[in-house]
Amino acid sequence: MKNLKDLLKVPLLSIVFILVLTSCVKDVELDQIDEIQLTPTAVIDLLDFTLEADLLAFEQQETIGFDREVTFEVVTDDLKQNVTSVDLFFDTTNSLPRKFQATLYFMTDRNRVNHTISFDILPGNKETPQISTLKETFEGEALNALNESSKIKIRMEMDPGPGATEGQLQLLSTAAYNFEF
Amino acid sequence: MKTGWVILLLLTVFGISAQNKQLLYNVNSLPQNLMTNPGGETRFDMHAGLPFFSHLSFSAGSSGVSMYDIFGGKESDVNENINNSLISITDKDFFSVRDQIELVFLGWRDNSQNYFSAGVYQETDVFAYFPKDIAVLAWEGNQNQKNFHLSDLAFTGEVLNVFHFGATHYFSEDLNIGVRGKVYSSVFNVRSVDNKGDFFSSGSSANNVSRPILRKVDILVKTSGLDPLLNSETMTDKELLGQFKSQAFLGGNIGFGIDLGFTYFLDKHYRITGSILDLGMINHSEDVKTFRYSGEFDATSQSTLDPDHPDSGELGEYFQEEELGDPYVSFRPVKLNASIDYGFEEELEPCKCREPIGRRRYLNHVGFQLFSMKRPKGFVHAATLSFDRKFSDNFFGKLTYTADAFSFSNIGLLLSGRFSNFNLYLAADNLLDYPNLAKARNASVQVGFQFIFNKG
Repeated sequence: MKNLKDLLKVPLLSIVFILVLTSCVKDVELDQIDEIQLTPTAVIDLLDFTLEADLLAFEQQETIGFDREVTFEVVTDDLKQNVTSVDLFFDTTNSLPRKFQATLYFMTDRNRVNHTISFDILPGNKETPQISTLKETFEGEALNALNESSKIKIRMEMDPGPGATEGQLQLLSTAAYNFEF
Repeated sequence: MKTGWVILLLLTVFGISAQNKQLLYNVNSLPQNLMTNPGGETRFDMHAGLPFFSHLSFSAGSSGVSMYDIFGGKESDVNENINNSLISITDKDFFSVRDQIELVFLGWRDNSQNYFSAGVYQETDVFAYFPKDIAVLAWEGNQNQKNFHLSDLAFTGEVLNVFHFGATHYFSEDLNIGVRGKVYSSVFNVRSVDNKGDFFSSGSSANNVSRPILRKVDILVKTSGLDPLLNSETMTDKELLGQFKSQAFLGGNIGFGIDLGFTYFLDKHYRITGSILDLGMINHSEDVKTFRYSGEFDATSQSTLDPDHPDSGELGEYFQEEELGDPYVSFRPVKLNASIDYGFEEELEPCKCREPIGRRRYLNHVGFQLFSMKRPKGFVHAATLSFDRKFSDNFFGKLTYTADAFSFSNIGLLLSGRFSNFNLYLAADNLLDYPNLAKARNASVQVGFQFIFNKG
């Protein structure tokens, strides 16, 4: 009789085993793992510089220009294929009484110019600085040109005008890289 | 073969695994009760576990998200589901995987009101907080100019063997006290818990122009015992196996710990119990590798026209990568158990074991249990209501309801049967979720086979 009772326990234990062993995963579509898309936007700084008033202490009669070069290697070659578009943002704040013309050359190592951006910066003063913004979007061929660039040459040309003892020109620029993985 | 070893280890580490053993706690007909409370009662005189099979315990859980939350529903969009989960999940949510396998477990009663037990078990414990800020950064980028905290990155992982010896003393009719000493033999250990740093953007404007800043970044990952895994290609199978065996059996990094526990009867019916487990630490001095990544980057600090500006060079120049070999100490995740229960329907037949007489025994108990476990950012808690019944000398069952960080609908069941001296027990958690594990945030299974003897 005792053995019979013990035997009866086996099915009970078996039910739990079966419950565990037959537990399943359902109502889920694991195939969707292929549809997962990471679409982050990486915002990085591109340019940041300031021209102080001491550059133009005296009235000048002719246009003055100066050039600078900075590296432009934001993403590695592996990542470039995942970039869908790039937005470049430019903010300028000018409290100098001069007009500027800014030109940005996106260049290869061998100084081949892939893309050019030009914009005017209007004169302002300390009380009412001239603020302007610019957005340029790169997609398709333009994006390829940007991706092939490794440096930026910045050319600033300052128009003739009166001298100034205070004020500054500030240029800030950000690149927003839109990825898709 | 080497690949096989790595896969086996990964399965061990990332398989399903158990932390709160509420189903075994206070079950005095099973020797494993002593591993949850060294001051627990024992209603048998000797036990010998079937080597490798006397206690297999596996649990895995995610407090913030289930598989169904991500992949559930035929009409849902997986990317939208991930987006919604990223909103609801917090940096206090965590993923946890644990397993425990008893290699050897023996016990015996002496003639002086003591029950001794000793054994060896292997334990794997992987715990990671959800790195929310880093996940959001990867998912949507930094365009929203949020402040991303790198301290969200916190995880621990270890595989170790534990050699233990414990004694439970029948102090009086009302009190049992017990202690267990442990020697830890660490196989692998990985810890990264004190990370620092912020990533944010400064100087935002109407035109989204801002400057990224990485401030006071200090990421530290401490590891020990990883050489066999990292160099598996350059080692023969025999060397690899020898290295693992050496690390598992006191040939590597060693630690010490202690478990304490008690059982106390408030009156004829009410019983309180408590235990503190794994109060110990491991000193990692062999095969230690600590990886440190630190530095600062502030794009607002210099003009682009300055040759020293970050844009003039690589971002990596502002950060240092170091590999250190300094020894470190890891503390075991301390666990606390406490309970109060009420016994009813007194068992009239005396115990066939030689437990000192005088203490009342009941066929049924209803109880309330609390469990806490120390994790890097604080304790993780669970509360359990339980009912257990001894159906006969050979058959016992326990039903639990547990509320914890994973869910408020955790129903668990333990069944234990004895066939002569052979005992089999099986316990499972989250039974309501078994019909569809995809919706479960936690699941655990415990099973064991052993021989239990009474001297009569």
